[in-house]
Amino acid sequence: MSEIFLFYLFGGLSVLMTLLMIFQTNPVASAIYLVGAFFGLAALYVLLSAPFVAVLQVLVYAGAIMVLFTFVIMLLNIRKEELVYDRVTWRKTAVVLTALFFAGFLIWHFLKIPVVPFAPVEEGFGEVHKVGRLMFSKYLIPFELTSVLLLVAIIGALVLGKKE
Amino acid sequence: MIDLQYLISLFHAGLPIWILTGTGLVCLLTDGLWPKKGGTAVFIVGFLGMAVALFFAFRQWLSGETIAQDLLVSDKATRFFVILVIFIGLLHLLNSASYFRLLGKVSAGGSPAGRLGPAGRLGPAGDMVTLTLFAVVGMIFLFASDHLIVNFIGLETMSLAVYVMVGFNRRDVRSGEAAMKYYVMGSVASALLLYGIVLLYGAVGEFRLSEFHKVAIFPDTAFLPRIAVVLMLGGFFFKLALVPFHFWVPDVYEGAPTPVTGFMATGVKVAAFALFIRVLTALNYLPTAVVSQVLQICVILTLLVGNLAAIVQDNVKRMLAYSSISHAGYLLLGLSVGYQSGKFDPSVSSAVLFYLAGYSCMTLGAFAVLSVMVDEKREATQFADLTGLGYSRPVLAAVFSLFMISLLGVPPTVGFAAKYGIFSFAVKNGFIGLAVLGMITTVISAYYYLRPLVMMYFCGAPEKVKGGEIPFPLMLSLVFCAVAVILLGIWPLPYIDMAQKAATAFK
Amino acid sequence: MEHPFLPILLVFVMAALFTGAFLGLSAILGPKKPNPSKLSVYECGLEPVGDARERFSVKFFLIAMLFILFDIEVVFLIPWAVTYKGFIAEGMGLFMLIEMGIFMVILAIGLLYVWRKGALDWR
Repeated sequence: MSEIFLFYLFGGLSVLMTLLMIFQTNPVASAIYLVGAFFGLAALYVLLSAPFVAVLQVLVYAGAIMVLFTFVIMLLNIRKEELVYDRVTWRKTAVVLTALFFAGFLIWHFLKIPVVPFAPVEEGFGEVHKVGRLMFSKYLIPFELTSVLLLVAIIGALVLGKKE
Repeated sequence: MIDLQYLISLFHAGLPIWILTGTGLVCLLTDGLWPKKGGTAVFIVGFLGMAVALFFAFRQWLSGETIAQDLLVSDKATRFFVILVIFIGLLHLLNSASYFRLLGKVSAGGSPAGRLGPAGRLGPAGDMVTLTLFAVVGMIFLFASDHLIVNFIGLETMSLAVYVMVGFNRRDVRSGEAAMKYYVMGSVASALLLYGIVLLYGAVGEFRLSEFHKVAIFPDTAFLPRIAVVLMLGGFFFKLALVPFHFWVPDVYEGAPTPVTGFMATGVKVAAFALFIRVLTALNYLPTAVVSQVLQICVILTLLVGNLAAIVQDNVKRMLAYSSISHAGYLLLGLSVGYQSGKFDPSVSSAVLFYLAGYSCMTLGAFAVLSVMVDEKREATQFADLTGLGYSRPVLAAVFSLFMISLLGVPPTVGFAAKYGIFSFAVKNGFIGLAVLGMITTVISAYYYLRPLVMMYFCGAPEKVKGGEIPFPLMLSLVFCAVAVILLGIWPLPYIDMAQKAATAFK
Repeated sequence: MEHPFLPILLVFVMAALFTGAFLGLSAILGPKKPNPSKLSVYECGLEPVGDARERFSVKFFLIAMLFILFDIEVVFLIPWAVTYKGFIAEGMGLFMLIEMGIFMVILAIGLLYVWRKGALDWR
């Protein structure tokens, strides 16, 4: 029961924070709300018995990626008057309506799925230990491939970002 | 859980991949340790490493035994594609080796991408070689696994490398713009694909495509795989540049450095098609009957839009961008005729596989020619720049004509053999309408494929002589592509046989 | 219910309560006699509000980017460190060491590359 309550609390929190983020005109305030949304999501991961993912969410997203976000915001240095409010056009209305239609379609169908009580997960599911065991034995290849992916990202950052 | 036996078989299954990755690391080290003059050395190391990987890939192909390995598939189909993408990577290395030198030689300050060599000339860019190697590794992982998450990491590795390659020409604003566009669009595509994969996992509880035949779908949740498949198709169509998702293509293809455009138009497409065939085959076990209709609609749109829009372009790169869209349409046509009563029959993909090989040769060749077309610090790829090329640079003009004729699909070239294969499958499986549409659009495409020929030979002499030698690596790539285009055209049987062997591995 | 993350939730709740309470209380109870020099952010020095048009160097961006990438590398180290002991007990310690070694070497080459290319120089 309390889990349901917590789910709605944190789910509501992250939705609220995301909305606040979108409707802010100040980019830095937007970024701060995004951190709030990340924390809400992290709490949801905990409720889903995925504590490791929750920790990653805070460490990587709320930590490192937000640093980059704020850097980008400062780099762009948008002035207030540059933030012109958009006018409503047919095209934008169509885009919004399509998105709403798709969201409604998804929600409608998800609600139709009967609620099946899942078998409870085994002891320690989703904890660092279990995740690590899988990652370093069964998922050996994707793990090593990730290092190549990171390497490509490093080269990319250097090639595109370095001053000549 | 993991023993020596497992590791040995893993080593054998992915031998070309390990070689490529190792070569990439060595390239990076060379570039890092001698940053001032490493360009040429990096190029040589990268080229040799790729050649060795190609050799082992061929040996794997000939040895024939399928090594079934967890998370890494090494069957005939995979090996076919491994050979193909390594070839593409090699040709890309040759194409790009002199491109930045050509660009840099005419610009006073020198291109940022190239490094000043000992003779004061700009050598090949080391970063480009490294990125190419890792992009090829990503491409191989994109289809050499039946685990969707591994495929996705491979896709991201490839995409990241290609985004950077697109923005490589930092002196050129258009290159940066193209990189930005491609990055944003590509990220959306990746996100769509990932969301689809995750929803599919939610529906069937399985990431392994080869295990899909075991899963049971309950009618209550049958909509979930449908949504998942729609999202995945969206992601694939973006990467394959099919029509409702094509609007980024012309700008990106035009803005990217010319050799990179060739790499994108071939390598990315080949790898994405390889995974696409695998996914379509696995989807047979899910209640997703609408896929065939979606594919057919997409084929019709792609063929019409791609071919008609190509007519009105006045930049050759842009024209080739639309041409690559329409060729993706022909390829998709080859897949969509594989549907018989809602089930996909992967044996039709032999025609598609052969088409991919032929298409790669002619497209890379065409972009190799365009890589030489550099004039006064910038790429000279307008149609007007081709005027009189037949007299000022007869060899270049001749091979370019050959590639254009092949892209059009005229008999002695591979373009004809490839299109013939696709259309004959379409007719055999009763898709007369699609086959007729394909032929009509082929006739339309004659207009824009023959226009460069007219410009080169019948529009008078060039205003100024744009002579100059063709750099050796580029010459090598041109000769290879031209020979392949003719050889695959007049004597396609061994290669069709290869494609058929590969296609039977999809099951 | 003994959820292992309950204490962390409690910490967050307490933190929010305390900060909220103190801020609120000082706003309500504190005396308010504002004057211009009290309201300024710094008592001396530059005027903090103004045109913020001076552009950041792209260097910051590059450093932040590299930070993220190596941060993700650290993220992979955590589960490895946690599970390493268990793997040793199963006789797979050497394998695990080599596996992580490959991962680290690949990224170390990246670091070397970044360093030699001069991206870490602050000029």
